[in-house]
Amino acid sequence: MIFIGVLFIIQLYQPDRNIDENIVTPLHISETMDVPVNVMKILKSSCFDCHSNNTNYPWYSYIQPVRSMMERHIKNGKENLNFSEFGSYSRRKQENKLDRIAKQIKANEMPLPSYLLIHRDAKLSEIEKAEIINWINDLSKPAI
Amino acid sequence: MNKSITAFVLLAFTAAACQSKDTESNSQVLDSAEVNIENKDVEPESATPFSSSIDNIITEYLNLKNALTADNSSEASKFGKNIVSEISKLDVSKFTTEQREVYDEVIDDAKEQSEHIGDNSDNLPHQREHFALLSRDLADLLAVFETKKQLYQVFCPMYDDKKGAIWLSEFKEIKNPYFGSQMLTCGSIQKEL
Repeated sequence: MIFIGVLFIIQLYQPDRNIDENIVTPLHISETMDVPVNVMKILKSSCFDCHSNNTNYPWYSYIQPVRSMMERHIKNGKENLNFSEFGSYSRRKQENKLDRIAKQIKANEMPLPSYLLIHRDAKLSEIEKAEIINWINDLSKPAI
Repeated sequence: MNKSITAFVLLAFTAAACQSKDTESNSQVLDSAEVNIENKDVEPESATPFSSSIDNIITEYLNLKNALTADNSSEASKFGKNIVSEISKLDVSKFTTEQREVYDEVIDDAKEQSEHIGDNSDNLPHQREHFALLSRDLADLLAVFETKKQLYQVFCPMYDDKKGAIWLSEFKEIKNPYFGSQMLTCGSIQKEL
């Protein structure tokens, strides 16, 4: 009985959602960089949920305590890398962020395995991984 | 209905409890601020921890580099954290315009790389990846900041899938922080700083 009561009470805690209502600021990566369409599609489906100001919430995100866990992931994710505010980073930081993205994807460290458990469609195929890594490697090559 | 009333009452209590906790910690902050002010009266102004010199950052960086050379992840983590705290002690008000420009470009990044090194006390390869990025940031800082130390910029051509990476060292002798005991003497001096 107490357990059900507690479960009921925690449902009342519903913090603000990480949704930007499709407002794309000039700081968004899509505005600051030339991102190819195919790469942008991958970023959107596999990265933006935790690394942007716009999360695509699944239905069970309305249920606590799932909700709180999710918000914590999003907060951490955005602290480390926020594609919605990519333009606010110094050029050095942008370069290094991209370098880190390529390395983490290559090493299967991102997207997080715990996230992929639920978001099957966010898992990157070898082709998708190569698309992102090649895009980043081409950027770091000096223009001829 | 009864249940929801109980729920709201409980919620109200929790909210009240949170609030009183906030005020408490606020007053604590105030108390410690007062203590600080008192201390300042006693100590001369030169005791302020803020400095426009990057010497302390470099000292901690060299400690970090030596820990990585010795394959010691937990020591490396400790020095990574020290760099973060030294960065926050920099007094930017005395920087020249040129110094300020380079500082603005790299310091955020340098701080973040150091944080990652601090947070990964059981992951040497990860720490080394961030060390490579940190080294580049500090090399750029040293181009516009004076330091009392004699330093060398060393290049390891093997690291990062043979893309190579630099580090800064106080030794002329090569002791590689990217490979440690695996390949201790790989690298060559690029320039004296």
